[in-house]
Parts: sequence; C-alpha cells; structure tokens
Amino acid sequence: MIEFAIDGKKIWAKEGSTILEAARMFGIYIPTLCYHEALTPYGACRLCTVEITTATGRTRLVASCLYPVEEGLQVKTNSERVKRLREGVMELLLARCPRSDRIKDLARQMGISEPSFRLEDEDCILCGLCVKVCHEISEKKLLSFVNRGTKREVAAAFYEPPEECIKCGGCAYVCPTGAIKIEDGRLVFPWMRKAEALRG
Amino acid sequence: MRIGIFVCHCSLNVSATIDVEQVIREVTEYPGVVYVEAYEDLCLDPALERIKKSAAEKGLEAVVMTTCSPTTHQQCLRDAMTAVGLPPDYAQVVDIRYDHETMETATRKAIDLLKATVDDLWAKAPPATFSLSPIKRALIIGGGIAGIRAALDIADGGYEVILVEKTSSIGGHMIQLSETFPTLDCPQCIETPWMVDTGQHPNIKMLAYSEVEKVSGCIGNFRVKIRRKAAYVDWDKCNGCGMCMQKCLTSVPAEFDRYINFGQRKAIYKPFAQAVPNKVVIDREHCGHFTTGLCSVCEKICPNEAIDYSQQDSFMEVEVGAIVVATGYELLPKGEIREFEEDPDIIDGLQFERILCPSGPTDGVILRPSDGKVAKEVVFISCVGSRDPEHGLPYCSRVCCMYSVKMAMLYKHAVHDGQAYIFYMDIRVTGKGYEEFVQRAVEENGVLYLRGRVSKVFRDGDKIKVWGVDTLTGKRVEISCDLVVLATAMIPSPGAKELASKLGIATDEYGFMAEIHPKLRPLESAVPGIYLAGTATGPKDIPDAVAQASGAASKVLALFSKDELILEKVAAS
Repeated sequence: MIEFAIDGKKIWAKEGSTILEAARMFGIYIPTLCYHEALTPYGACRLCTVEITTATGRTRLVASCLYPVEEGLQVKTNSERVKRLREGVMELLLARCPRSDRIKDLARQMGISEPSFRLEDEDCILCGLCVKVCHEISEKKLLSFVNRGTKREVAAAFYEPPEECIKCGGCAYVCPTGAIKIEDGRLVFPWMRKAEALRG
Repeated sequence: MRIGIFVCHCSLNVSATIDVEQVIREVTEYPGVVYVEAYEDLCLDPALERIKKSAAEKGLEAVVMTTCSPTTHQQCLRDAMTAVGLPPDYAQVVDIRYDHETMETATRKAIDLLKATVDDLWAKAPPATFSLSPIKRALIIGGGIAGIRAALDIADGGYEVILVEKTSSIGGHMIQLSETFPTLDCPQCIETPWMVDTGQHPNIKMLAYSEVEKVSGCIGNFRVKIRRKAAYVDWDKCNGCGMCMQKCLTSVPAEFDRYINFGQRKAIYKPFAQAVPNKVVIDREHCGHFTTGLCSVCEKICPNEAIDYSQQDSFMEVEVGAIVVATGYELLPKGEIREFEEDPDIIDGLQFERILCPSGPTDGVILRPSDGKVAKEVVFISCVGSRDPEHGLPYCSRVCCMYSVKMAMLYKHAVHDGQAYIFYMDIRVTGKGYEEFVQRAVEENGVLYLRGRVSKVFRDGDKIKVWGVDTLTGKRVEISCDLVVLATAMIPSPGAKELASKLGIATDEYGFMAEIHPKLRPLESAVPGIYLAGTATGPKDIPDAVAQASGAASKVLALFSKDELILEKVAAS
C-alpha cells in the first residue's frame, strides 16, 4: 500500500492506482468530464488537474486521472494554481459547447457563466469516451480521432456510418454532453451531419 | 350437531302452566335444532319408541326432552337413546315444572332452559372431521443455510421440494462471513458443496429471485402463488460466463459487501462469484438501459443472447403438503443507535466480515474504509442494541460474543502487531468448544477484554475515540483507535412480518416467527403443516440453525409418511 496525502489527509492506496481512483475511493471530490471508471483514463479534459509535490520537493500540475500514486506524494486539489487552471479549462469548454447542460452545470458550480472566448456551437468536447468505449467495451474499434489541430474530431472510417456497429449504445451512454443520439435505433454522431454535407 | 327437541304437554303439569305452542315456535328457530315434536305423555313407552324412531329417521345426534320429573325420566330417555346408538351424554331432560306467577314467565323460563340445554350440548359436541391425502411435496421459504439443509433432508427422504429464495442466489448470510466459529472453517468452502447439491438434486426445484405471493389451504393441501421476479436475463440461455459483468459501464456499491466503499458491483451482476444458480440479474434501478434508454451493451455483448429488457415478473402456482419457513435474519441498522455517529470507520459485524474475508473486497487486508490505512487498533463493542430494554431490544442476540472474539482473533492473525479490544458485559459462549476458543483468543492472540460499557464513540482527526469504562479496575477508559466494530442486534429479515401474515402464522413482539410452544415445539408454528427453522424464529448460531432445519425436515417427512390425515373442520369465527 502506497502512503500519500490529498489536501493534508493521509491516504493508503494500492500500488498502480491513480490519484483520482484513490480520491474517489475515499470520498474526496475532484471534478472530471472525460473520466469513466469502466474505461482506461485519457486525460483529455484536464479538469481533474491537481498540484503535486513529490517526495523530492518538485511541484507541478498533473492530471490526477493518469498520475500513479507515489509514496510521500502531497496532492492539492484546490490550490490557487489548480483553481486558475480549472477555471480556464471550464471557460474554454463552455465557449465550445455553450448549450450542453452538463457543461453549464459544471461551470455554474465553479462560478463561471460568461466565457471570455468567442462562442462556438459544438456538441462534442473531444473527450474521447466514445472512442474508448468502442475500443474497450464492444472492441469493434470503429471510432477514432481524425484530423489535427482545430479540425480534430471523432469519426468513423471515411465518415461512413460503419456497418459493423453492434449498436450497443455505449458511446451514447458515456457521452458527457449528449452529442451522440439514438434515433430509430440508429446511432447519430455530429460527424454524420458533416458527412452528409460532404456527399452534397 | 343435529339436535331434536321433544316437548311434552301432558295435561296437568305442563299445559296448564306453559304455552306449548310458543315454546315450539321459539326453539324451532334456535341454531342446531333440526327437529321439534310435541307429545302428550312423553313418559310412556309408546312415546319413547316414537322418540327412538324419530331420532333414527331424522339422523339426530342429540335429543332433548321436556319433562316433569327428571329423576324418573332421565334414565329412561338415556336408555332409549343408547338403544339407538346415541351416547348417554347427548340425551338430556329439561324439567319445566316450576311454580310461576304467570303463564308468560313460565313459558319464558321453559324456553330459556331449553336453549341453555341446547348450548350445553353444542359445547360437548365432538368436532366435525374430514380426511385428506397429503400432497407429498414441501415448500421451503428461504435459501440460507437452514433452508438448504431442510431442502436436502426432505429431498433425500424421497420427496419433492420447492425452494424459494428472494435474492438471485441461495447461501444466505453465512456465505458472507470470513471464517465461522469455533472451527474457523471457511464458510464458502463448507456451504458451497451443499449449495451445489441443492441446485443439482433431482428432487429439488430451486426458485431463486422469487417470492411467495399468496398462500391458502391447510396442512397436506396448501396452494401457493409464487412470484418469479424479472431478472431481465433469460436464465435458460445465461450460462454465467460473466462477459456482461466485465463490460457493463455502471458500477454501484455492492449489497453483498454491505455497502462498504471497497465493494462495488456492476448493474448486471451475480451477488458473489460462487452464486447458485450461476446466473446474472439486472438491477433495474441503476442499469443504464432503464435509467437513460441509451445503453444496451450487455444485450449486444452476451454470446448467448440471454438479455431480455422486456422481461416481466411472472407467477406460478404450486400445491404442497408442508411449508418450512427459514427466512433468516438482518442486523439492526447502526443509525438506530444513539451513541454512535455516522462514520465510515464505525462498522458492524457483517461489514468487518467482508473486510476480513480473503475473497472479499479488500482481499482480506484489514483496511479502514475512510483512508485505506491498515488498522492497527480495533475496538469491538458488544451488545449494541441488544439487552437494552430502554433504548433497544431487550433480548440477547446470542452469537455476538462468539463472533466478536472470532473476528478479533482473525484480525490478530492478519495484523500481527495490531491490538484488539473487546468491551463486554458478559462473555456468553455456551456452545461446544466456545469457551476454549475465547481462552485461546486471550492467551494466544492477545485479545484484550474490558468489562464495561461504552458511552461515546466519535471521530477525532484520523482516529476514532472510544469512551468506556473498565469495571474490574473501576477506571474510565479512552481508546484512540483506527476502527470500531459494533456487535449489533440480530433482528428478523425484512419482509418477515408480511410473509407471516400471508401464511397466517404469528410473529412475536420482535417480529420473529412465533413457535406454538417455545420449549416443546420450537419448530412448529400455530398453523399445522407450517414449520419453522433457523434464525427466522430468533438469534442462533449455525449449528443450531442446521439442527433445527433437519428437525423441521423430520416433521415434514413424518407428515408425508401418512397416506391419510384426519383433520378437524375448523372455521374462523
């Protein structure tokens, strides 16, 4: 068992577990969007960022969903640096997805209502949970991130609705913003609208 | 009872003083009276012959005659009745000669006396009976250790058994324990062979995830309606492979692990790995398919296409000759006890069993729920809610002295440098090998007993403080420990009262099933044909529960050895 501390409280966690897993086991709150306990962590949203000081004295900001517990680690979930970063991330997310209820609720909890960025109108926050589900749960691996930079999005090969989809609905179930919908038993993704436009 | 009344109106003694017509009118209506006849001069032989003939013709079971002098007439009447096969007790004469002021009062008195005599005859009446051939099939309600043992005994005796269990696996509470006293057997190891036998026995029909809905009938002939609850999984197709459990996206705290933070299960689950039957069920309250309509992962993943979200509860009717109630127990919730705060490190016995259990949520490592630290000091508190007439339950829960010392001993086996304290009032360890077990715990494992009660338990930073007293030294004691284990009172299983009401059996003032006689007939309810076994009737340990189960089974086997039962016709009044 690895002994470390979160916000001054000593915690003993199994070797190989992450800071976030240990925090959740013992009732310590760290906000997340792209984390799901049934899937391997990705670290996309960065809301779970915490400030750590290692046993050697080095301090930095890390994603708690990915950082493995270490003996003697000191973790702060709400220091000034963490707060600023989290608020910044939240503003960006809110600017990207201003209509999502989940994003709006989380932002409101943090006291953010007016992002200082230009508002977009996306449904997808690129958290990667649907991709994870398709790789790890149904193991069909039909979804992936495509393109780079500002054009990055989730899609299936060639933007074609994949025939091998088993319609397990896992992607729709884990999506934090509800960007994936089920209509007439079919799964409908944001990229499908674009695919139709491409085909003209 | 068919009663005939013969009213004599001999000219001198009776007719002059009594309105015979009125007497006849009133007694004809009286319950039980099927025949009334009036005579002149009943005392004479022709009249007696007439009475004998009427009695035979009308099928009378008792006869009342109004007379003048009973001394002369009672014996004649009785001899006459004996001649037609009626017991002498059932032939009564009523003396209606009395000096009266008026004919009305005399008549009234005669009528009252006749009615009283009829009532008297009713009270002496032998009960009506009927016979039936008992259905030689037993129903066992409850699939814990007692229900399993009773089922196996009756099935081995050659008769069909239907075993109804409300959770999705048989095994009861025993399978949640870490090791059983005093042998320190692993309960999973000793109980699973019986569970498998039960599941495979040709005479046992095991209905898990089912409940008794309605009961009617009587000994030898009960009709029972059973609800088969919807698991949303077709058990004919499910083979227990567990793919669905692996892939399910929803986790919730596990009831089997008594909701401690280390124990989680999926929304589609088996309560434990060795479940019998080896099938999964879906917890509709938490399953993503039912809560959001979006998730169908288990349905699409299942290699046998066993998931059926549209499944409904179904019902079946069975006819059985005997019922054994073995519904088990629950523990008094900690929240009902004032001295203890709500805290993750103040737990009850079954929760600590799960932590101690090598196949449990912590793999047998003694971790504190609040922070995962290995507990170095553990305080056990006895009699929490038991033996407390003012604020709790007055009775003793019988097993806690043994399980507290057992858990203290197992804790010391797991944490060699740990310290275990037990606050006690008495050490009630009366079973075979129990006293020796306690001595071993004290001498070999260093378990420390403190005779005294605890007044307050509360959190102080990362420790739990226990304020108690050690009456043998007369000093107050404060222990700063890591974990507190409460020996909470044993109470009846939830739903026991409702089930008792459906069966028509009584519960005692605490809700346990009531025996018809606690000393001489501890396995029988007040309803013939419904037997009781295990902790359903009150706190007891595993050996006693198993013994009672076999005892109840023997009563069922005795019942089934008869091809005809003579039963009284008794109606509720």
